[in-house]
Amino acid sequence: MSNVFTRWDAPRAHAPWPSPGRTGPAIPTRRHFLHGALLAAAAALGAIATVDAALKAGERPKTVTLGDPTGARIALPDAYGGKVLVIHFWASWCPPCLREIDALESLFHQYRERGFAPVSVNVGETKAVAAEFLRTRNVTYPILLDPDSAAAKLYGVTGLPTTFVLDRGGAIAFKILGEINREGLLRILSGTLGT
Amino acid sequence: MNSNPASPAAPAPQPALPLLRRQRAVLEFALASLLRHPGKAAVFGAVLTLIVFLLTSLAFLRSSVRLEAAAMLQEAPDLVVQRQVAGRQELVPTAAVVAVGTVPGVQSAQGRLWGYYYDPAAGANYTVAVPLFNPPAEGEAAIGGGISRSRQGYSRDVLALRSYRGEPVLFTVKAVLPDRADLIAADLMLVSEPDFRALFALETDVVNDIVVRLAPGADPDAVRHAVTRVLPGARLITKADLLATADSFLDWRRGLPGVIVLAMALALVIVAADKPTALSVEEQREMGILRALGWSKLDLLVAKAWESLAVSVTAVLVGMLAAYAHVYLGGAALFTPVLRGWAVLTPDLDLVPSFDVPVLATIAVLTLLLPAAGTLIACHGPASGAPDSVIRD
Repeated sequence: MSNVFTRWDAPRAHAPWPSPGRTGPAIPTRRHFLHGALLAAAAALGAIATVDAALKAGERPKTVTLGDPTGARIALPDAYGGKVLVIHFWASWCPPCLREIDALESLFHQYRERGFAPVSVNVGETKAVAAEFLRTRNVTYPILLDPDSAAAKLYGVTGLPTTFVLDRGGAIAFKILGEINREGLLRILSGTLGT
Repeated sequence: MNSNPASPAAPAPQPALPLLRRQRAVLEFALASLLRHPGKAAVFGAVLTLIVFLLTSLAFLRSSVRLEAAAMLQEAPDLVVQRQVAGRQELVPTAAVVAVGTVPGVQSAQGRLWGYYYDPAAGANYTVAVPLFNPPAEGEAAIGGGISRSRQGYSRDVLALRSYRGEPVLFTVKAVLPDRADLIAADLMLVSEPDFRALFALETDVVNDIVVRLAPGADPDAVRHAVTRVLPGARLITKADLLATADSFLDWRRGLPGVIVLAMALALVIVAADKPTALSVEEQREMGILRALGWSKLDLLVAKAWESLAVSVTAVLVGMLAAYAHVYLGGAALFTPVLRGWAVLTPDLDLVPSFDVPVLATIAVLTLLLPAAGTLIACHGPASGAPDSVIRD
C-alpha cells in the first residue's frame, strides 16, 4: 500500500529501480537481456495471440443485426445513422439494468426529437423472457434480443449493465461500465446531444 | 610365446600419452559410451533437467519478487499509525493526524484514504486509494491493469460504481496504470478525495491511517513511544516491519518454496544414490574389457565421471535456460495458479531478471557433484576388480 500514494502519473511508474537522479547500480531491464530473443518470440507469438475484442472510445462498431420480440430485424448501428445512439446491454436478472431501462425511457421521451435513440439489447435470454418483461413495463423504445450473446461479444461486454454511447457519426463516444442513473447519463450525453 | 601358460598374457605396455591428449581420448570414449546407451542417458538427463528447471524457476521468481519489493519499500513511510478497536482497524479522526504531527522527531504526518471496494460486476475487490501527491481530478480515475482487463475498461471509458449510499458514482478513466506496475497495482484504483468520500460515504473528519516521516536524525523508538502516548492502543508499523514481511515472501524456509526445494533436493539425492544400482551388466562388462585392455582404474573412473558430468552439465544449462524462459517470458505460468489462489484480479508477472548467484551456483554444483559422486561409487567396484571376474560377473 505504500507507494501507491505517491505520484501516480509520474514517469517513474515502475517503482523498483533507481531513477536517473539517484545513485546506485543501474538494474538492467529485460530488453538488455533478450532483445533479439524477444523479437523472434514476438514473431512466433503474434500468430497465436488473441485480439482484444473490446471496443474502445473512438472506434466504430461493426454492423450486427438483431431481432426484436415481434420478429422485426434491426441493423445496429446502421439503422440509427445521424442519431445519438445509446446501446444498452441488459438482462432480466440484473436489477440495475432494469433501473437503467426506466431512465432511458424517461430520457427517450424528453430527447427523441433531438435525435436521442436508445436501444436495450437483452443478452443471453429467450424471447419469452424479454416478452414477459415488456408485458409488465411500458417501454416504448426498441428492445432487441441477443440470445446467443453475439452482439455482446462483438462489443466486448464483460458485465451487465454496460452501455455504449455512439455519436451521430457512428463512433463510440463513451463506454459506461456499470449502473448509471438518469442524471449521470444526461451529464454524459450533454456534449453529444447538445443539451 | 609365453613360457608360463598359467599366467595370462600381460598386455603390451602402451606408450605414455601426454596428459591433455590422454584426457581428450578418455573424454571421447566417455561421450561415445554415452551414445551407446542413449535411452538411459536421456532419462537420467531429463530427470536432472526437470529438477534444475523447478529449483531455478523458484530461485528466479524469489529473487525478482524480492527485488521488486525492496525497491517499492524504498518509498515506504517511516511509520504507519493505525487505530485499533477490539483488534480491528478503525477510522482515525483527522485531529489525531494533527496530534501525531506535533510529536517531537516527526517531520510530517499525513492522513491516508484507502479502502477495498467490491464490484459485483467483476466479482472482485478493488483497492481504492487517494494519492498523497497529484491525485486525479474529481470524476476521474486511474485504474490498474487487472481492473482494466476484468472490466474491459480503457482510457475515456466511464466506470460507474454504486456508492455506500446506493448512488452511482461515475469515474472517467484517465489512465490505465502501466503493465510494469501490475505486480503492485493490478487491482488499484486511484481517485480524488471527494470521490473517495462519496464512494465510501465517509465524513470529511476521518482518514484510514496516518503515515509518518521522521525528521533526519530522529530516534525511531523515541517517536514510537511518543506516538503511543498520544494515541494509546494504536498499532504502529515501522518500515522494518514492512521489510521483514516482504522478506518472508517466498522465503526458502517457509511455505511452498520450502516444500518444492525439499522435494527437489530429495529427488536429486535419490537420483544420485540410484546410480550404483543402475550400473547395467553391459556397462560392467565393458569396464572389465577396458581393464583387460590395460586401462587403469583411474582412467575408468575419469571416463565414467566425464559421462556423468556431460549429462549433468547439459541438464544444468537446459534446465536454467528453460527456467529463465518460464519465469521471465512465460510469467512463471507453473507457479502463478498457486500464488494467485482465489484472487480474481491478478497481476501479470512481468518481472525484471534478477540472479541470486550463490543460490544458482549451489543448484549447479549439487547437480554436477551428486550424480558424479554416485557414479564414482557405482564404478569403484568394477574398476577395482580383476578384469576376468568383472567380465564374468
